[in-house]
Amino acid sequence: MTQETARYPTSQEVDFVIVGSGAAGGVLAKELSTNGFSVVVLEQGPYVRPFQVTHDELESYFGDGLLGTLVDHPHSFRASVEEEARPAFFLPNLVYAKAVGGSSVHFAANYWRFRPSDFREWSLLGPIEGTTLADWPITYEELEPYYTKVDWEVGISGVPGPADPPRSRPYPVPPMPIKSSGVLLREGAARLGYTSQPAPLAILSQPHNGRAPCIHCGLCWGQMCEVGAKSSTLASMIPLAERTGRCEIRDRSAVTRIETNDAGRVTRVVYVDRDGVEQAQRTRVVVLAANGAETPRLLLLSESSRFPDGLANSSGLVGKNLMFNYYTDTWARFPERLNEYRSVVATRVVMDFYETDARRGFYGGGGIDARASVSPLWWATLDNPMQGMPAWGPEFKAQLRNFPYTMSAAGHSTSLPVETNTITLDPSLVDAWGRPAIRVTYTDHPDDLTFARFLQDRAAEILEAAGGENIRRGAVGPSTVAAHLLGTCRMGDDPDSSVVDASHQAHDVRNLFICDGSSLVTGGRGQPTMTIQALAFRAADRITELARSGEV
Amino acid sequence: MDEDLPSRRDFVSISGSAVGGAWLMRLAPLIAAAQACASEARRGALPFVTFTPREAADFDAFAARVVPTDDTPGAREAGVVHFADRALESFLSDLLPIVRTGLAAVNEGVRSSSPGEETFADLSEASQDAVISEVEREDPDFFFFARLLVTLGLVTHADHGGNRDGVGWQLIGFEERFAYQPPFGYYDRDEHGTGDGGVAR
Repeated sequence: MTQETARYPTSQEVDFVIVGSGAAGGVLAKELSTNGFSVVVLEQGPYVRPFQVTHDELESYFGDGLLGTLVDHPHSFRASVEEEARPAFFLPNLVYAKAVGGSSVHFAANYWRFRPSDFREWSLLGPIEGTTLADWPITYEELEPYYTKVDWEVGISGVPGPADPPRSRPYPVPPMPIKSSGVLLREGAARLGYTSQPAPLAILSQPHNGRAPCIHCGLCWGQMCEVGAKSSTLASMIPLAERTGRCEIRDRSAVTRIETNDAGRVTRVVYVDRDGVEQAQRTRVVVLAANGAETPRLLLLSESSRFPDGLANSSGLVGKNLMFNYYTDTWARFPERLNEYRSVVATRVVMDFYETDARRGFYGGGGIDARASVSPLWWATLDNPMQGMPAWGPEFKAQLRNFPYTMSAAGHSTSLPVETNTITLDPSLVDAWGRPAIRVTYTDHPDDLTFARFLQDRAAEILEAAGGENIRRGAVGPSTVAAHLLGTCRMGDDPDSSVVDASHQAHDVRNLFICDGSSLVTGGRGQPTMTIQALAFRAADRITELARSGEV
Repeated sequence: MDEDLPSRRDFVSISGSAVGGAWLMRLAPLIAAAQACASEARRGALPFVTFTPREAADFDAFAARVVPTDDTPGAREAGVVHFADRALESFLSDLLPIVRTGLAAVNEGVRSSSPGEETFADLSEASQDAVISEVEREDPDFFFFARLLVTLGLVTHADHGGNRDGVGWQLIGFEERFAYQPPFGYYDRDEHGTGDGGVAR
């Protein structure tokens, strides 16, 4: 049975416009169209098809493929409001894919669930100075069925670990085959009395839902999967949405503004189409799922006399409490070849340091996974793996040869919510569609860095116990580059201290929903996508209920 | 090709105007075009499109000191100068002023400190190394981006003009097979016999 792909005229009022087709937007598109609603998804990036995948690193990082160029997507960065923000030059500060499927297309696919404690850290730990730490308005138990939905519908490989949160169903497919880095992490951890477990990944180890399994090509990070084994929404959700015949994916459509009427309801979504022509799609309801940087920008751009500080911003919290998650590398060389460039990024993880331990004297938690850390291009290019070594000459050439003998034990850890870490509009920089550029203001909370160093010490111990030589630590310093963009429209029951309620409905605008990384109240332990997608499945249920009962 | 393309700065200033969308559509094929030109240039020894002959010789000499040739090929054999020439014309055109000014400054230094020598490429390898050490210290932006062009040209796909005959990939021990079966490396060689996919044990 084939179904015509839906096409809606902009003048037709559709049930939903979803802005963004990534981890959250793809799930929402599939769920809402399956539930019988008419849906238009506006995605600023192109619809890249699997047969167009080249696995060409240069194309992926510097081309017009997934990240877009800094010409099209300029943005600026500063550590604090005292500084003038500097436009990104050559390499982006914000790393996210502009394509149908969003960053789920290029992610490394680590899919850790949050734990029950993640949702109530304020209750467990009390207030932390300089932060807006808060409990979530929902619990792990409320979200658990939706985590399971992600496992089965999006397609996650894994096996439950000893300290995993409770789950209602096993994983649909077994974990990916362990790599040499995973074996070394397992052995090193065991010698120190730590536990490790197979890494849960949004990559299929066996056929599932009519999709093919991984062929271990080995360039997942930053790249698309040509066999559809990576469970991006492009592979897992978008085809199902389109197959309903009710969902139109409108790519290369850059949203510039959400229009509201005198009653304070959203009515149309204005965007620049692929030909550079301004269009406006009429809709009953808008769902914003554009990520933790693009979503607040769009709300700020949609100010009006009724919403002078930006749409849905009566709390003043749109764009605030930005969290990046912290990441550290610790490299070691081993005597024999690991060939970490093959297969998936990470196959095993140590979760013993997940919870904050008050006895340490600082907040923070995280996991350590075993991984290749860098691809050939970055191995040769970045100075990080070569820290402390000559950047050129015979010794540099010798170091280049260590590529297949090297692994990283990578630390993934917490970022506290801090109100002065923000997404705002750059006052002078404008993007290719005429939108004021995103300006990032960010300084890590001191505990974020202290914990990252603590976790790096554990990673170094594990590598040493595994027999690693020449152990080198990536620098732990102020964050200036981020792929995880969280917390900027946080969820909560109180309209004064949050942007959306527990149903992702904007406190200020009844027919506006916001669901993506911006919804997160706390940032977890460095792997947020699983939770973003569980929230999206849950939001789709809530939105469907409200739409059917006329409460939007 | 594409001489009429706007610079990045021009582009930013016209962005948002009615023609913005049309310009956007023109940027996408750039890498593909540069790629075709670069691999052709390397094969057929076509003239350089960005570098003057002198700049090309100097950059090639610089590359050969960053990743020197010994008993195995280095950056020179990988043909990174061809990669850099085309990249600076197209998708890395932002870097051209930095590289061009940097090379000129290096040669100014050469002329003032080594009477009789005209360019960096003319110097002995030992003298070139001394110059690079100084550049690394004194002009870190130029050094960073010039070195970057070398490393990119060394290990990117050969279609972009560097990594000739895969010598860059051979150097770092990377194999482009794009499909593997376990075991992947030495330490997982005993893990996959039961076909359990490395399940916890």
